[in-house]
Amino acid sequence: MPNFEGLVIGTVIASIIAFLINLILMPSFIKFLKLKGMVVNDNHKPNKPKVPRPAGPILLLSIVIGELILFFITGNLEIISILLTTSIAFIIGIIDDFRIMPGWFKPGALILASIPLIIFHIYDNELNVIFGSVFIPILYIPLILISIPLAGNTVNSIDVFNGVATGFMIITMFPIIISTFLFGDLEILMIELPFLAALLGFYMFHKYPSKIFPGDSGTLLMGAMYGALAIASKSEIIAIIALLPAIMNSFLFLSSVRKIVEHRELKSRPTILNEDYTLQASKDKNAPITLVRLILLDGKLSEREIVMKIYKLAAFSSSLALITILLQFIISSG
Amino acid sequence: MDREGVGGVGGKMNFLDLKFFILFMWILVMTACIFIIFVIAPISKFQIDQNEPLSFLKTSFIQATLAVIIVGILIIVLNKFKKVYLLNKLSSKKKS
Repeated sequence: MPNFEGLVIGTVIASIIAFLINLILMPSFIKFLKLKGMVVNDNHKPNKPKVPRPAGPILLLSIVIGELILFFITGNLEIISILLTTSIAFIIGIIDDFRIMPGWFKPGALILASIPLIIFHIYDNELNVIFGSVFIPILYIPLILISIPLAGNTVNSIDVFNGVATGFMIITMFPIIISTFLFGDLEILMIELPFLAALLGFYMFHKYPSKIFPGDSGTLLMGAMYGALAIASKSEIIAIIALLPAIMNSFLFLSSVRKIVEHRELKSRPTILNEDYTLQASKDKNAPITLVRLILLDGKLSEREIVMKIYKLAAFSSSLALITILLQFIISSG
Repeated sequence: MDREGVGGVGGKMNFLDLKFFILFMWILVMTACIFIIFVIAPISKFQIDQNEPLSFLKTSFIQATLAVIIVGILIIVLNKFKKVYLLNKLSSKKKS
């Protein structure tokens, strides 16, 4: 294990490489996907341009290479465990990208992605609940089995407009990084930075107007890795608070539809696309309630305006997460 | 520009409402954390004192049951809040 300076340099190099892989390989991958006809319509824009999908493979590659550099420096097995979880989530996502799977597939199959975290015992037996910790060695296992599918699907369900999932992840990573810095260990903080760098690199292509979509493979791997990092850094509650807008979206959707279904299976859409390419909330009573439908209740908005509103909500929930971190810091040092 | 909610007082109020929804969820999470610390955590301390394997499983079962009850209560409260929120939201929209 190198000294502190070596670890910092290693982390910086791993992060830069993770960022650059996206920046360098993504344009060629976009061309490749277009050539293979792997494109979908971007329905919220004039003439519905064809956008390549999925970006998951390059995003995964950038994360794997960045994290493996850290693994060769530190020998930390937690990195392998988190990478396995992320890779399994990616495989589940890529299956869903290319085959039409039933609604239960993603949440059900993502339970498999939780298993490496349990096998490598990445979790502490004590759950950090801000005001103290609770010793739950047995209960922690079902908690992990639930957390990863929840995190994966929550991020997946918020990926409705250009750049939302990636931008949302970038904003909500900051409370996790600060929480890890204050309460977690250095090695987990080191794992988080290449992930953030990979997200930043990918955001260059996913931001409005998107040049590529992440697909289920991209969003599931983002959510699963976020969940794994939250567990490894003992920041589960902080992660829940930061993800509140996305959790709210899933909750509203599930409580109105009352079953786990894919969006394509819905008979009624939550929003209506106008001729001027603005969106408005559906007036259909049977349409599911979603975060976007709530945002649009006051009037029609363009896609870009909706994206900005979701980012502002992510910033608000991240601020609440930061207040919670401060609260925990005061309690733990008092 | 024919866009209610983009700017103006109406739009800002609506956005504040969504922040309020998130703030309410945050309060629920914090309440659950307090409940876990003051009700569920002491159960494990009691089990450690006993130092008995069967008691360990019993403790986990009690903790799991309480955790499920908390989650159930949170969902019910959030569902009620959602209904009140939507009702107020839609009635204010009709008035305007």
